[in-house]
Formats: sequence, C-alpha cells, structure tokens
Amino acid sequence: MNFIWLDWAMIVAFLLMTTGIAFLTRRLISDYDSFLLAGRSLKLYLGMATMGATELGLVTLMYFSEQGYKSGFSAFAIGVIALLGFVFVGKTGFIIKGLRELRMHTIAEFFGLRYSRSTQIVAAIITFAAGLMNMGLFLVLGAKFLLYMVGLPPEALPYLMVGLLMLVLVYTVVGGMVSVVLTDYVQFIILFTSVVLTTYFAITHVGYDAVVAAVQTEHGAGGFDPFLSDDLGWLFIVWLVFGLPFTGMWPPALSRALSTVDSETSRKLYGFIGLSFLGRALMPMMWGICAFTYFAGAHAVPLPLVDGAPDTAAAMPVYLSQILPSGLRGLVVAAALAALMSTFDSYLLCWSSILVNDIVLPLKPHLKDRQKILLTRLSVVGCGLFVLGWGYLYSPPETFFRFMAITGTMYSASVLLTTAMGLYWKKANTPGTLASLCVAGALPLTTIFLDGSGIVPPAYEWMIEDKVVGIATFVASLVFVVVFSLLTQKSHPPKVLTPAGAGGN
Amino acid sequence: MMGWQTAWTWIFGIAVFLFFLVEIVVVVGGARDIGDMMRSLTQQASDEGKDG
Repeated sequence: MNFIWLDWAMIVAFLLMTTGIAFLTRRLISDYDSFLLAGRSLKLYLGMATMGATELGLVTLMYFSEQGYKSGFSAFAIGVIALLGFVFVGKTGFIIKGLRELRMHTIAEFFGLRYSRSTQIVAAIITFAAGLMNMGLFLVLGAKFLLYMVGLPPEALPYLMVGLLMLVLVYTVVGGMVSVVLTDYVQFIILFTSVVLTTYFAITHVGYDAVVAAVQTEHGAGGFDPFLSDDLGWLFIVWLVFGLPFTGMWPPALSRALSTVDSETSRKLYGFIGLSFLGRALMPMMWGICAFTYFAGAHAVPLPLVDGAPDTAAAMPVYLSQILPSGLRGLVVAAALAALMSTFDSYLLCWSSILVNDIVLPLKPHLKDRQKILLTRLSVVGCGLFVLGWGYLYSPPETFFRFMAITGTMYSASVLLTTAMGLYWKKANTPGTLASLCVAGALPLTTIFLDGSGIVPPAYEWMIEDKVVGIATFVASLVFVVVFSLLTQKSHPPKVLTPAGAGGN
Repeated sequence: MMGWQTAWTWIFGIAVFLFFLVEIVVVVGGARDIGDMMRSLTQQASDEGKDG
C-alpha cells in the first residue's frame, strides 16, 4: 500500500463534498430541461469549467499517457491537431452554432427536423452504440489507475470497478445536470491544479535531458517525427486531419454547447476552452514519456504484466506512485476521482438522454416530464452496467487512444458529417443521409471486432487496420451522402430548414 | 530530428502556459456564473411550484 492517512483524508473529503452537492441541488430540478440541460442557464465561464472537467477525464490521462509511452514526442501531434480543430470550430462556429440556434437538445434531434424520424432514430442508435463502446473502457482504465496508485493487489480490479460505478451512479441519478455542473466546477479546480503539479514532479524526477535521450535511444527519429513513427505514421495523421473539423463534438461536449445561454456563447466556449486542450493532451503524454524513461532505467520497479506482456497502460500510474510525495499522491488520486466522475457522470447522462430523446420519444412522443426523468435515470443505470461488463471483457487491439479514435470516427464520420451536410448543403436528403449513416456506422466495426481476432487472413489484415478503416470511413461517408442525395433529388426532395428557432435562445 | 525536438519543447511550454491561464480565468469567472445559475434555477423552481 502506497498511501498514508493524509492521502486517505483528502479522498474522503473530496467524496463527501461532491455527493453532498448532488443531494443539495436536487430541489432545483423542476422539469426535464433543468434535469438535462441545467435549464439552459450555463454562462461562458461555468460552461468552460464543466466542459474542461468533462473532457479531461481519468480515461483521457490514461490513454494519452499510454500513447506518450509508446510513441514518444511524436504523440504530441495528436494534441496539436486537436488544438487546430478547436480553433477552427471556435472561429467558425461550425455545426455548433447552427444546432444551438435551432435549440436542439441532442444532435440526433436535428436529423428529425432536417431529414425524417427514421433518420433520427438511426443517427441516435449509431451515436449511442459508438458512445457506449467508447465509454466502455472508462471504468477499467480508471480502476487501473487507482489500483496502481494506491498499491492494491491486481485481484481488487473488478471490485474497484463496481465501487466506482456505484459512486458515479448515485449522484448522476440523484442530481442530474445541475449537480453535474456544480461538481464539475469543483473538480475542474482540483483537476487542473493537480495536472500542472504532477507534470512538474514527473519531469523533474527523471530530468528533461534524460527524457529526450531515452526517446532518441529507443525510438530514434520516429520518437520525434510523427510521420516516421512506427506506431503512428502519415496514415494516422491523415486520419486525424479528416476528423479535425469535428473536434470537441462528441455528444457530451456538444451537450455543454447546447446548454449555454445563446449560440454566441457556444462558439466562444469552444474558442476559449480549446486553448487548454493542447495541455490536456501534452501533459499526460509527457507523464507517459517520463514513465518510459523511468522504466528504461536500471532502478525502476518492475512494470506489471498483462498476458505475459508489459501493461503499457499501467506505466504512468506505477511511475507516479513511486515518485509523488505523500499528500500530493492523495490529492492526485482525488483529482483522478474527480476526473473520472466528471467525465463519467456527463457521459452517462448524455447517452441516456440520447436513448430517451431520440430513440424512445420519437416512438412515444407523449411522455410526461416525470416519466422522461425516470426513464433517463433507469437508462443511466443500464448504461453503467453495460460499461462494467464491456470494460471487463474487451481488450482493444492497439492503444486505448486508438480505440477511442476509431469509435469517435464511427460517430463523427456518420452523424457529424451528415449533420454538417444538412446544415450547409441544401441538396442533402434522407436517402443520402441514411446511406452515409449506415456505411460510416458499420465500417469501424470491422476494426473494433476483427482486428487482432485472427479471423482475417494475414495478407488482408491491413484492410482492417484502424488507420485505413478510419480514412475509408470518412471518404465513403462523404461519397455516399453526395451520390445518393443527387440520385434521389426528385423522389425525395430535401426538406428546407425552417428558421423558426434561429436567433433565439 | 533536432528541429522536431526543439519544436515539441516549445509547444509543450506553450501548452502548459495556456492550460494554467485557462484555469485561472475559468475559476474566477465560473464563481460568478454559479451565483447567476443558482438564482435562475431557484426562480424557475419557485415559479413551477406556484403554477401547480
């Protein structure tokens, strides 16, 4: 056990504070909007706090540090592309401004307005499936971090996963978005401060020159040049660039933009908080590179094994558990819990709202607010149980970040690309959109379920590699929506968006 | 390789600075926004209570 009483005291204080907020804010939930979107009363800075805390999850720290461990400085290219994406969205308001002006609750709702009810349901199912698979690894990665930081035995992993799930479910189900927003603010402060402090300790322990030398020795030029990297390479960069216009539009982040007081605040939100997204990626990556340097040295503790191979995802927490001073270790674990909870609660609430708003409500439109809240709470519990099972049973073929990227592509190449077409291309219609949704929703499943399974002959394995499938998904989706829309203009004339909600709050 | 290494070092420094800057701005501005949100939601909840 790596912890002393001071570390435990910090964690207990943090947990009491966050669950207390959830119960105290319960009386403020008067209707479905206040449960799900905090009554659309989010102003700029609080919106930034909640988006920053949501998007800097424990899973984010884990997958970025693992990527840094495996790719060295080349992994920084991922953070730079994310920053460029945020600057683009922040400057142009691409997609988010249009959706906010139309007063959408969720992105799939737009499909009902612009295309048809069936398209809305298909888009919602794809979003829901991609999101659940993506979220499926949150618990296992979060539990791994805590396991190695605290110094618990590996057998404790499933119990830790169940414990974390219970904790998040309690205050998400009880409080809804108001408690999520308030706890996000507290978590934002703890989280951002801890990330900066940890970066300082991670670098100074091994020394920056040693870090550069270790990457140079082990990775060569590929440790710095992402185009030469064995792990990444130019195909990977091209894939990320395809997704650049859709940066930060994963539904939980988008729900923050839709919760703001007006469309201009939504746009500003992306512009400002996007500035922190470079650090959000680069700092945990640096922890991973420092861990790599530490484990390459002679005095390191042994790296845990998974199926006989080194567990690269465990490198960062094991490293931090060895180098952080007592007290700070407790603060970092409290911050990690904050990161896990702020992300997990928002994601649970988001996927549940998609299930209720875009799959159930189009089929049963006369549900009362009380029934909708109950249904959302039940689906929060259901999603949580799925995540528990998926995280325990599924292992991604490549790094965790690359799994996140392919599930992200499943959503962005289908749902976001057709949303953009619906907003900015008058000829986009229902058949074109449905064709695009189906092809882009299905293609990534090949890499998710077949890559590494041994089913595909070795000569054809490149075809199901995530980079190839990711690029093919974007290209196929665009081709399908354009070609099918143009071919069916007469039989299915495109709907014209009525500007009734435009300009309103 | 030296070029990439120098560029990443600078970019990392900028990333840490921007991260810290955003934190300070958000913490100060967010405290004010919380007050506004609570007032708005309390008002909304009390209006709902009066309506029925």
